[in-house]
Amino acid sequence: MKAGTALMKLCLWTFLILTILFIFLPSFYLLVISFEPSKLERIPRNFSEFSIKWYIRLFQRERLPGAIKQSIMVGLLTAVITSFLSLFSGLSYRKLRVKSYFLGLLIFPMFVPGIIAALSLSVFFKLINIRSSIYTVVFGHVLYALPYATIVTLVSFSGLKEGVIEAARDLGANGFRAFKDIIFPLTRGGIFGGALFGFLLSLNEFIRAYFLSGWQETLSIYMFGQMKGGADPSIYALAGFILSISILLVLIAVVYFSFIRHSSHSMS
Amino acid sequence: MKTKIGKSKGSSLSFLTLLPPVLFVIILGVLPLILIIIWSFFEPTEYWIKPHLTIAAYLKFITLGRYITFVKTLRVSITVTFLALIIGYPIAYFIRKVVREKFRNILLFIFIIPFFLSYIVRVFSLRLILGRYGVINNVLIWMGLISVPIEGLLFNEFAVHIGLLSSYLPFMIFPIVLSIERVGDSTIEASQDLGAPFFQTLIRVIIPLTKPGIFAGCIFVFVSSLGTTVEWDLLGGVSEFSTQQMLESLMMALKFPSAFAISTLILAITICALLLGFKYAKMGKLFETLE
Amino acid sequence: MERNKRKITRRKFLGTSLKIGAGMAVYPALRNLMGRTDSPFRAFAGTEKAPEKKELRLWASGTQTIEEHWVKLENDLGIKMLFADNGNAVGPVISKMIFGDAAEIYDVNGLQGGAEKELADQGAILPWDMSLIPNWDEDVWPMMRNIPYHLVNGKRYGIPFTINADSMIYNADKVPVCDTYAYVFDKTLKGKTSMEDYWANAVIFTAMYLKENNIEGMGTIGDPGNLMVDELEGVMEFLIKYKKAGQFRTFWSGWEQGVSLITSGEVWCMTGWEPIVYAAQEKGINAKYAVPKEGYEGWSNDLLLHKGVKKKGLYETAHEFVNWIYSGYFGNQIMKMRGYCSPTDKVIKYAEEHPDEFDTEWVKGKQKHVHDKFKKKKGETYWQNVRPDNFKLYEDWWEKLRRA
Repeated sequence: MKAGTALMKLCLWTFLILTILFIFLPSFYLLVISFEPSKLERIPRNFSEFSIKWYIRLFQRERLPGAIKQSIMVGLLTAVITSFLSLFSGLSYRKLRVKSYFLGLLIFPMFVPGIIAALSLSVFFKLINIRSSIYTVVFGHVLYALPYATIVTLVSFSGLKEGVIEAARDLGANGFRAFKDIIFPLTRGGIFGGALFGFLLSLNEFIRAYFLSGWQETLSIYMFGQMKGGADPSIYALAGFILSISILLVLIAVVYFSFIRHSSHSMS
Repeated sequence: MKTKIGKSKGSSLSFLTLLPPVLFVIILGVLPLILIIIWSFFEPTEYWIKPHLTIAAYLKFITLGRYITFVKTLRVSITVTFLALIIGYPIAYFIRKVVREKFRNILLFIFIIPFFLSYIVRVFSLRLILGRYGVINNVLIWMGLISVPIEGLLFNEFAVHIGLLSSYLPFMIFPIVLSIERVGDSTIEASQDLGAPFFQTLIRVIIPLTKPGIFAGCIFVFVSSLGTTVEWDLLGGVSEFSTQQMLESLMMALKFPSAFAISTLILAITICALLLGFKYAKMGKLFETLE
Repeated sequence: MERNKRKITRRKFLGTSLKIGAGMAVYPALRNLMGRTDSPFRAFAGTEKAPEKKELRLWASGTQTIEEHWVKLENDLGIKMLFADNGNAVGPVISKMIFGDAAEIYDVNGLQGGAEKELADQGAILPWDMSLIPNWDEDVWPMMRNIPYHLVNGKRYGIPFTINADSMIYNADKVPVCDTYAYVFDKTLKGKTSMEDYWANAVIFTAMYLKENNIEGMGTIGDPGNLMVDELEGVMEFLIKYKKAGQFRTFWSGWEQGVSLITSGEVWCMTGWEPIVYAAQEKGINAKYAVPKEGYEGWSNDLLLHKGVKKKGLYETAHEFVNWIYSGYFGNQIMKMRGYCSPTDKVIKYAEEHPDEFDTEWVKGKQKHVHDKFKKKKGETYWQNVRPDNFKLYEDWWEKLRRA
């Protein structure tokens, strides 16, 4: 390898790690302060002060499990519906003549300010006599996440080569076979990406959830209330808990791919 | 129907697959929005509005200086989008083209971890980091670089930029990673075999091919920056006031037509921008499959 | 015809879901009964009629919940409390009640006082039947009985849930004395003070300061909690002047921000809630609560009766609940947990009767402390109203301030 390339690689690695640090700084800080036994939001002064008191408290909080469950339900439903709808868009987009209008129609909801979207949907549901429940939140969140998921899916579909699909057709594959065997493997990054956007946007969405949910609160409503009306540091412990699990998953994956999968076979 | 759908064999199928997303958006997106647009021309009553047409709400946008807030929010969102593109593009390229395949997904996963944490506490934590006695000031003092804490790290426009960037940078990286899929290794090699330096290959070949990803990333970061309140609320301090905060404030004071008028304007502007994009930048062709 | 049909199916659907809901409520009760070793009917628990358990949905600020201790309500009256947080965000709460169906989903609201008229006018809340709340008697502090915004057209729509009188929190290590709101506007504290990020709140404090000290000819202000057009202009021009000069570090909103501003050293003196002082002290900060010569800003977080209770048959239950709130236990618990005050002498009576449950002397001291704030020893108490008469104008000015 040329020295220039190696140097460039080194620079890129440094840049990547700095960026990851930048994005993670707030999250890491939460992890650290979650071990401080006093209620102060600070880094424990020395190692002996580290305490898991707030983690224990976390699991005693009454409304939290319900809120987490509700958020996961809403997120999963949103992810499933969103990814199906955006997949449909991706499939039909290739054949469309009026691409720009279609694209414009599908992505305009993302420009509607959250509070206005929430209010208008709320009024709309009331007009057509639909009571608010988990489903109304899901509808609100699908509308919110759909533009993101559609764009991600379209980016992914844009990597397809027209010739490949035509070739599959010529070989006699019907629509579904062509999709299952050729299109899906090539675009699954976008399809899963769309689902992921659906889930994560829904998980972090507050104002639509607030307006459209039934009496069961979601995690974002719970957190909003905690920040507004007096929390204890167990909300940092929650962040620390999620972060720890995620990091553990990353480590397991790194180990798995480095040592175990290494010997078996190369990836497709 | 015929005019809308292509001539290919699969046209009936693509019409069927087209229906669900289009119907969904029309029923839940367009219809409620038409109400909002109509209501923006109504007159406010004590608690709600009455059907008496007026453009007072739009005039107030100018006369009460609300446009200043709007322009400022736009400016910040555009700056953040630009910064995110500059930082995000090399990272995305690196993840897709340099990192070995098995670690690629792990890296991508790392970038989404923060989204699993509540965004409110994440931004709140940033406030503790940037504050007068926060981590950054403490480290700088400990290193002996400064003796008095820097006040300007928090509660100003700078802090808002940092907050937005740290929240939404991953939104730039993902679509670009996906779009780099379009750039085959052979394409880059071919260009370099012709003696083109990497920089030229980048400008002439790679960037044009990844346009869909760039468009997607920019629009994600821009829209998220435009639509958020938390970063402004927690990091902006007294002087930073965004369009979203203004909307929430208006709604709290039951000034519905004004809030609806601002939303209508935001929509009108973005739709105009999209139309111009479709017409002149051929954005409709953006997501077309490769030949 | 079509519409009728839909109505019937909806009702049917509702009925079914209600039945399922009731079943879900009864089932755990049954299981409890069967599981209890002391039940003589253990083996036959299935045939025994379970005691009817009512569920009440309280939608209030997170500062008002006593969390696991709601079980006492269940033990006393058989009412199961289902608490949901409304974030104490007045705007969204009202919107959700008027434009959404929050007035039907939840049964009782706990909201910052002042929105009563607006909600009552639009039929989202019902007046309380005070004859069903016997604990609303002479033990309730007199000044709590005639807060103007609680009554609409002579009917009582708001009952104080918790109350307090607010002033300033200050860091006594940095600001030795703080007995006037002048410190918030003091040049030597430039960039180290703060106010709450909400027009109704920042404005009343500033107006009290200007009125009581007759600054810039503002001694003529009538009610700082409800300013006239020209009074508002004077107050806001004053605030804008100071904001432009960089007097305030930030405006704060919500508990977590308030506490952290004081504990992190960002702010040395700010208007805010008394429990923040306790929280900061717990964190080792020498925080104190000011006794300002201009007086306090009084507020009440009010219990509101949602219109949906009648249909659900929870009208009496909601009243029983409020009566229970005024029986004293809640007041002790909320004071112990969060430092908020329930304005009735039954709190102290309860503590005296149950010395094993609560520290009687401590509760007495705290209740008396809050009570005395309203006794006009030092200046007036002005009531904060989330909806002053000119609130739309307030908002215009607030936008102007934020942009300045």
